[in-house]
Amino acid sequence: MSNNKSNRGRPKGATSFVRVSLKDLMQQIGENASVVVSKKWLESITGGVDELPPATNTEASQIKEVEEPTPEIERIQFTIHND
Amino acid sequence: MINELIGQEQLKKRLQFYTDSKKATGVIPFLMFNGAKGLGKTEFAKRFAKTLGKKMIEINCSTIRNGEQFFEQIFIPAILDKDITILFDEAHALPKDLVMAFLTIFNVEGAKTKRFDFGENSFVFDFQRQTFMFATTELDKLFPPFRDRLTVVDFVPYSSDELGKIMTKKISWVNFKDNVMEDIAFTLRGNARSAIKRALEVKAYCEVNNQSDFGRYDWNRLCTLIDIRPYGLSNTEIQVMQLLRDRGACTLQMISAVTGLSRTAIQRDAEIYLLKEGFVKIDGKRWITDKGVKVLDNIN
Repeated sequence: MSNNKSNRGRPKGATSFVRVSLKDLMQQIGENASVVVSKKWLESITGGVDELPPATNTEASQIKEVEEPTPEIERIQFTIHND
Repeated sequence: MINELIGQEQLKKRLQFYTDSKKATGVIPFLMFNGAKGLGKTEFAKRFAKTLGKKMIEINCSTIRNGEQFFEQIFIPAILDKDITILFDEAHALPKDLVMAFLTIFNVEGAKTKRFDFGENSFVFDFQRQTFMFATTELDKLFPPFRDRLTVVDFVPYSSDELGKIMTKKISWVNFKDNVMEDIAFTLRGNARSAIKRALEVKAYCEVNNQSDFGRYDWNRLCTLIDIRPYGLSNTEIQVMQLLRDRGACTLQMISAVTGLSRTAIQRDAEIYLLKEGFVKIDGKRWITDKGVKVLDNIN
């Protein structure tokens, strides 16, 4: 076993993802391109997915639009006394 | 109007002074009503607002999440450009960012209006038109610089005589006999709300039994029916006293283990009243006093 632990694994602060605007991405690859996205991210915006969409350029590869529920507004409780 | 209320005589004088001085100064100080629950803080605030000729909005501070929510839901629709009294009840529960805003808003140094910028908006507080009042049961939990901007008005427990008057006023058609009111007041723990509740219980008893007289026999019967204990002791308080009598001196940890109540709950809900009445004492450990033993003997 190597004792040189500092060379093992991912360096601190390194990430696998970069942030890019959808507009810039579409200029590069077009709107019908198939892209690979994080499964967790996809689940967070679609509410759950069993597997990655098929890697085709068909309409079926497009993510289905999901209507997000409107968050309930928390109301301050108050009473008006007129008497 | 305030004088129609029973008790809190010193407080009434102060409120009368502020009402009179408003005619000269145009403003009322930012009052903080401080006192235990059931002493009439809200009722006095309502009557005070009426004396000032304004309607009052009573806000439960524990439901305010942040300053933005307060300005959107309360200030703009109900306070801005209106003549109104505002009571912030349970003020110790105000969110931190709103307390910080209030530090600026209520730092008036004699000014009658204050402009306050919040986010992209600017709001004007007109203290000649708007009277701000606060109420709390836990003054010690208030951020000290905020507390310093307020005028604290203390509520005191009601005397037996005052509690009797509160009950009699509520059910004036009941004829109390055998000096039974003294016994009843004894169980109310100086609390006006308890007096109102007890009046309603006596009313129900008299209505069920189709009578208007209420004497010692009726009181003893009512105590048995709805489990009213001497001194208005709760079951938890009696449980703590019994434990101390049966086991001798106990630590708070021991009482907590036996009763199944948290240490805080015992200190907050049971010990304060037992200590005040001299039924227990704390000397490192908790002890029951001779007075406490006598009370327990009466219960058993």
